[in-house]
Amino acid sequence: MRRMRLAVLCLLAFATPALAFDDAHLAALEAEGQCIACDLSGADLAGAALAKANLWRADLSGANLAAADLSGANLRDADLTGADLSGALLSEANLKYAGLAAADLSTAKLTGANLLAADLAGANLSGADLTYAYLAHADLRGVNVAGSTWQNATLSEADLDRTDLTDLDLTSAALRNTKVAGATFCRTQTPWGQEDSGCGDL
Amino acid sequence: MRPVAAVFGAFGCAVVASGAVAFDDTDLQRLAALNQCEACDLREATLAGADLSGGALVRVDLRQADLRQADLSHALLPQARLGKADMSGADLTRAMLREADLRNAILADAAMGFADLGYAQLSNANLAGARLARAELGRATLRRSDLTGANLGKIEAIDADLSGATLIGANLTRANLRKAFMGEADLTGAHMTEAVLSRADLAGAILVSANLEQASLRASYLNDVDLSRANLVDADLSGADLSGANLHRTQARGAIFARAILSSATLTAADLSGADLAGALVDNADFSAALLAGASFVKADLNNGTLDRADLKGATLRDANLRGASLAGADLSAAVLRKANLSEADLSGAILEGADLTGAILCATKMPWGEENGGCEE
Repeated sequence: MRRMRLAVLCLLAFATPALAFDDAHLAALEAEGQCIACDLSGADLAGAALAKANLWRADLSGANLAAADLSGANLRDADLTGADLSGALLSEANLKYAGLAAADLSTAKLTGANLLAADLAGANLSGADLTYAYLAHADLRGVNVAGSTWQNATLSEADLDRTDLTDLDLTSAALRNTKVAGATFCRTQTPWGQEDSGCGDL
Repeated sequence: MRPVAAVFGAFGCAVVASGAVAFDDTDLQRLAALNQCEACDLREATLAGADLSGGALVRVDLRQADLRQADLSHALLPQARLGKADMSGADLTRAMLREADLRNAILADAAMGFADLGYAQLSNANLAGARLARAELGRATLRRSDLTGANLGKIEAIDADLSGATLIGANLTRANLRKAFMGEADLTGAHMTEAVLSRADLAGAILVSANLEQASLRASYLNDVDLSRANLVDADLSGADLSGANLHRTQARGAIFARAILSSATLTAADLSGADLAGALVDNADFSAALLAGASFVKADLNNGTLDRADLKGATLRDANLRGASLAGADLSAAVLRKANLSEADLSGAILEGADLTGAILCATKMPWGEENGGCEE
């Protein structure tokens, strides 16, 4: 009996191509503040109050989470590829191993967020606040970081290839074994002084 | 966050402590922040105890730097310049030091297991007590380096140059030293069980009391080496050149000397029971009081050799050339001397009980019972 109901649900999910995400999942999230491994791809959650929500392994690819409050949320292993997180509150959020490639995180608040080994390749972090954020082993290749704040952020072992670090203040950032060979340094404040080695490239 | 702060602290101290300004201050700070510094100038820098593990230090200049007890495990140091650097007690486990210049460096008691030192220059380096097990040393130069008591077990050192190096008591168990150059090296008491030294050049090396059990020394150059009291049990020395070598009291039971050259070698009181010397060139060698029971000298050339009081019980000397050899008092009971050339040989006082002399050439031969001339040609 249960198997049959599941089958019907699955059928419905496939039968409604207009909706990428699962309505039942969205309802569960709104009711319980948690939706583990659920499908919310493309969902419109702009401005949603999801502080401390448990969205472990959720599929939020292409979702609209602009100005959403995800402070302290568990987004570990979540798929946020191409999601709109502009102006979102992600302080102290768990984003370990999260997929954030090409996500819009402009002016997002990521203070104290844990982004261990997260995939941020091609993401937009312009104006974002990453004070005390932990980004060890994160993929930050080609990320737009213009005007972002990195006080006491950890970037150890992270990959900054093709990232433009112009005018950034990284004096208090931890950069041990960070891949910076392909990054652009221009008027960048670093622990070893102002680095202008890449000014000529611009 | 805490370990990172600790690293900064350590480097901060290092910056303050180093009075000399041979290095580039910005480079040192860059290293402290990034743990990487390509082609940086860090000459004479004080980095004792620094955590540089996993650091990328390609072509870095660390000449005469103080790196005592530093953690350089997994560090990338290809082509690094580390001449005269003090790295005693440092951790270089799995460090990449290919083509690095470590001449005159101090690496005493350093941990260097699995390190890649291919083509590295380590001449005159102090590696006493260093732990190099399974390190890659292919084509590395270690001339006159001090490797006393070092652990070189299972190293890959093909074509390495260890000439004149001191390896007293070193562990070379299962080391691959094929075609290595170890001329004049001091290997006294070295542990070399199952080591591969085929085609290696050990001319003039000191191997006194070295343990070479089951080692492969095929076609190696061992001219004038001192192997006295060494252990060559079951070792393979086929085709090796041991001319002039000293094998006094060497233990070589079951060893293979087939087609080896032992001209003028000293094998007095050596134990070669059951050894294979077939086709070997053993002219003018001294086997006095040697134990050769069951050994094979088939087609060996023992011309002018000395075998006085040697134990040759059951030995096979078929087709051997013993012309002018001295076998006075030798025990040849049950020995096979078929077609052996015994012209001008001295067998006075020899025991020939059960010996097979079928077809042996006897001419001016001193037999225990008198001279035999039956085989003289007209």
